[in-house]
Order: sequence, then C-alpha cells, then structure tokens
Amino acid sequence: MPIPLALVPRGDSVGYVSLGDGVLLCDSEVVASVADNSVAGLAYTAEDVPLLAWVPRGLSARPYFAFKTDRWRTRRLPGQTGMGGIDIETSSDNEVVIVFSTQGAGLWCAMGTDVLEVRETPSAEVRTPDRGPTVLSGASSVRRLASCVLFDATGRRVTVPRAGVYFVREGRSSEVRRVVVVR
Amino acid sequence: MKNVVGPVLLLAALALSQDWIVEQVDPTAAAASPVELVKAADGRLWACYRTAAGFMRAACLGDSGWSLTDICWGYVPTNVWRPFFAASPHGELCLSCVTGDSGWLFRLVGDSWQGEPYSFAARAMCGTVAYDTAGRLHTAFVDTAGDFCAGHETDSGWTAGFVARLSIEGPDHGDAACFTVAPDCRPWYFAYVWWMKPPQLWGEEASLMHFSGDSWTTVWN
Repeated sequence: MPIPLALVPRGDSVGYVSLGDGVLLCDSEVVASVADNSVAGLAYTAEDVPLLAWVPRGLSARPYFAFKTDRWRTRRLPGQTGMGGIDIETSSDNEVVIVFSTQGAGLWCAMGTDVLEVRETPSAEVRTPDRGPTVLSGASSVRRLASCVLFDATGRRVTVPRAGVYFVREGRSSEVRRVVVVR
Repeated sequence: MKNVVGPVLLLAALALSQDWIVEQVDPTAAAASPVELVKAADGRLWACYRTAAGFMRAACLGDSGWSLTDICWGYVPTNVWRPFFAASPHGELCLSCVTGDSGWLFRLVGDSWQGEPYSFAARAMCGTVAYDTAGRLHTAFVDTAGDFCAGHETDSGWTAGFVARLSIEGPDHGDAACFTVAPDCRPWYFAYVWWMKPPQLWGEEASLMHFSGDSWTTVWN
C-alpha cells in the first residue's frame, strides 16, 4: 500500500510521490528502491518534467535526484548526507534547488544548473563521472560565484568573472567544478 | 611552478567536475528537521524548518544568498503530514505548526509574520496548508475521531468538513497525508493509515481523493 510522501499541482491535476513495498513511486511509476522510512520531495518544471529528490533511507544517506524525460534518470547528490526532511523546487532561473536536513550539520541546499541535460551512460551499473560543465547565465547566478575560489584555464585567480570557462573551488572543499559563464 | 598549476588544475577539474553547487544554509537547523521548500509569487524560494533552539525558521534565497528569519517558537508534530508551509500566488506565505500546546498559523503579510490560532485546534493539533490559484488558504487535518477532514478560509472565517474515514483494525495505529490544491482550485488529498498487531505491521490503507464540487471522489484506494 503506497505511503504518501508528496503531492503537488501538475497541469489541471496533481502529481504525487509514494512509497510502497520498498520502492519509490512517482505517479505510479517505479523510480528507485528505497527503505520504508525514506522522505521525498516533488516538483514539475514548466515543461512538465517531474523532478524528484529523496533520502533513500531514514538513517543518514546521500540524497538522490531524479527526473524523467523519456525515462527516469537518477543522480546522487555530492556532498552532505541527508536525514529527516527534503524538498525540491525550481528557481526563477530554472535551476533545480533541493534543500535537505542532516543529522547534525544543519540545513543544506544543492543547486543544479544544467542537471536536466540528458547524458546517456553505458548502463545503470557502469556509470562514468559526470564531466559536463555548469553553465551560468544571469546576474544572480554569476554573483553566486563570488563566494567561490575561481580560476581561469591558466590557473590564475579570477575575482570578476566575465563570459568564458572557469574552474571553481567552493569554500574549503577540494572539489573543483568546470563552469561556463554566459552573458 | 606557475606553468604547472594550470594543467594540474585543468586535469583536476575534468576528473571532479560536478553539476551541483552544494552549500550549507543554516548550521543551527535541528537534526533531521522536516523541511518544505516553496516558490513565492515573486519567484524567490523559501525553506521552512525547525532550529535546534526550537524556533520555526524561514530561509529566503535572494540574489545575495540565504537570509534567515525566526517565525515563532514551535514545532511540526510530524513530517508525514505535508505541506506545513505554503506560498500563495498573491505573495502571502503560511506556516502551520504547534506553538505552546496548540496549533497556530503564521502568515507573512508584507514584511511581518502574523500569528493566529489554528481554527480547528479543538479537533486536531495541527494541519497542512495549501493555497489555491485565487489565493484562498485550504487546510487538511485528521480529527480526534480519526476522520480525515479538509477545510478552507471564507470571507466569514473557516469552514471544514469530513473527507473520509479509512478502516483501522487495531488499537496501535497511525496516519499520514499529503494535501494540495490543483490549478482548477480542486483540493486533493492523499491519505494513509496503518495499524499494528505488535510486533508487526498488520494492515494499511491508502486513498487518493479530490473534491469534485459537492463531494469528495476517490480516484483510487
């Protein structure tokens, strides 16, 4: 029997996420295998693409994100593990925004700028690292780069990003992302 | 040395590049707090959650990042009745939570959060909230008899009625529900009950329903 996790407007009707028999269902379609105490959030883009975020078990675990175009595509979020609460929305810049609680590290937010881009992988079992760049356009997105350590392709520090390709190290993290700024 | 930094950084970027920016919004959020994220009429995103100090807090994502505002001392009694935070198409936000020992609604009107007792506090500790496209506030709750109920605000106050009773066949039971209002202003209710014969789950029932204008219709159960 499906346990309700989220219910949101969709077109003239609604969409929902539920949990039943160890699987996460979105509008009755199986998305992933999860534990019985998982939590999830649901949103739809303006193009009616369902966006789903969930913590796969009640105990601390890295949150997942999924969206459906021709089929469901699942991504594991980098960084913090989540626990207790999670929700998802789209920003006015059409970014995917996920907020989630943790066990003892406060509230976190994951913002994905081109995460609905479809990149085929050889199989569900053999996934290559996601090497696509983050594309930023609009003043607010570019302003957010100010909180990051930014380098150009030659390794020089950049404080005022203009259009081009940059590499970002966020906060104290050792992870580096490739970012394309579009004016 | 400088000539080496660029290529090394480039290789590192290619190996580790991600599509996500992950940042901490609030280090003082309560462990495992329920959280709702809504988009306000002006396009800004608002998250609502509980802090470790016991306040219900709203975090607004603006151009300069997240700004945090304490709404009230309180809590959300469960994370399986959703949503407890909603945004109207006319700029209002609403939080439903327990403060003191009873349910309250807090609305952001203009720049200030204004509290009012939850109109059905005598029948339920707390309820969900959702706005329709006209900006009217709706709510859903389970009353002391175990009936799923829904209501909405009118010009003269609140009104609520019975939606459904799902069968429970044991003294040890619980409920969950999600509630929303579709763009055509019909409320929808996804209700669920479970019961146990310890130590195991013995039975459960779920129903997706919507209001058809004069009665609640079951889509499936």
